[in-house]
Amino acid sequence: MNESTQAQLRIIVERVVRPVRASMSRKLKMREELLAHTSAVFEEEAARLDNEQAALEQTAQRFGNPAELTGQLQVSIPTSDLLQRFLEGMALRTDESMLHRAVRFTVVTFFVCAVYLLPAFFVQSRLIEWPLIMAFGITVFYFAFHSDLMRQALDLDGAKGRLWRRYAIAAAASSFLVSGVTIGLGLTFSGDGRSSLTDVLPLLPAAVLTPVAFVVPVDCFAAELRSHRKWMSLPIN
Amino acid sequence: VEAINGDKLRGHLEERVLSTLERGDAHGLEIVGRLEEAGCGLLRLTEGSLYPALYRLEAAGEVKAVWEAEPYGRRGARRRIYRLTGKGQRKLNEGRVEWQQLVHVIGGILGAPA
Repeated sequence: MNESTQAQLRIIVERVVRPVRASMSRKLKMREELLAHTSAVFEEEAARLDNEQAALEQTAQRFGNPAELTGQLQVSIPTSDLLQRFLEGMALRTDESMLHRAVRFTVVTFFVCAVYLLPAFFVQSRLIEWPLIMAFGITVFYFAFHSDLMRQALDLDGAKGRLWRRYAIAAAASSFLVSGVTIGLGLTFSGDGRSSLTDVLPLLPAAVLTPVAFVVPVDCFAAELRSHRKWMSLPIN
Repeated sequence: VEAINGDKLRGHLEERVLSTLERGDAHGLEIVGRLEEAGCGLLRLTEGSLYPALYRLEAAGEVKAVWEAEPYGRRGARRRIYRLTGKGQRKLNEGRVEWQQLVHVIGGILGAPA
C-alpha cells in the first residue's frame, strides 16, 4: 500500500470521526481502529478487483455514509467523556501563554479548595491549617507550568528534534516540587527552619522521582497531540 | 431473494454482534464476516455501523476489548479484539427469548406462525 492510498484511507476515516464531539484520546482510538478496518477492507478489495482506485471506492462504499456514521458514533459516546473533553479544552487552549494557563489553573484550584476545605476547617476548629490550600495552589501552578514546558520540549516534529536542554531544566526544576512545598508548609506551621529541613530529608527520594512522574504522562500526552494534529491536517472536504 | 439492509438491519444489531462473539473473540472485520456468513450473504451491513454498536456494548460492559499487540499490515493501525462478557451473555439470552416471542406474536398476526 503506497503513501497516497494510505492517505486516502485516512481521509475516509477522518470524514467520519472529525465531526464527532468527543475527547481527543477517544477520537484517536476510534481513528486507529477504523483505519485498521478500512486498510483490511482495501486489501481484500484490491486483491479482488486488481485496481487500487476501484478498491478505494469500494472500501468507502462498504464503510458507509460518513454523515450517518458520525451520527451513530456520536450517540455511542458515554457521558463520562464530557469531563475528559472539558479538561482537554482547559489544557489545550491555544490563545494563552504558559504562565497565563498556570495562573488560571491555580486560581480555579484555590477557589475550589477554599469552598470545600474552609468550611470543614471552620467546623473542626482547624482554621490554622488554611496554608494547605496555598500548598495545593502552588503545587497546581508548578505542575501546570512545568508540564506545559515539558510538553513543548517533547512536542516537536522529528525533523526539528526535541528541546532536550529545555526538557532537562524543566525536569530538574520539578525535583524541587515535593521538597519545596513541604518546607513551605513546615515553616508556616512551626516557623522553625531547621525542623522543616529535617522533615524534608525523608522526601528526597520522592523529589528525585518527581521528574519521572511528570515526564511519563506528559510524553504520552505530547504523542497523542502530535497524532491528533496529523489527523486534523488531512483535507476532508 | 432481495438483500436485507438499512433500517431493517439496525434493529437487533447488538444482539447479533453478541451472538457472533459467542463463537469466540474477534475483531471488527471478523465480526462482519461472521454476520454475513450467518445471514447467508443476505444481510448487508454498512461496516462502519458495527463500531458504534461495539462501543455501546463496551460502555455497557457487555463486551470487553483489548488492543492487538502488533499493528495490522506493515505500517498499519492496531485492531481491537472483542470478547463477550458474562453480562453480554445474559443480554444475548434475554434477546433470544424476546425474539422468539416477537416472531410468535407477529407470525400469529400475519397468519404465518413460526
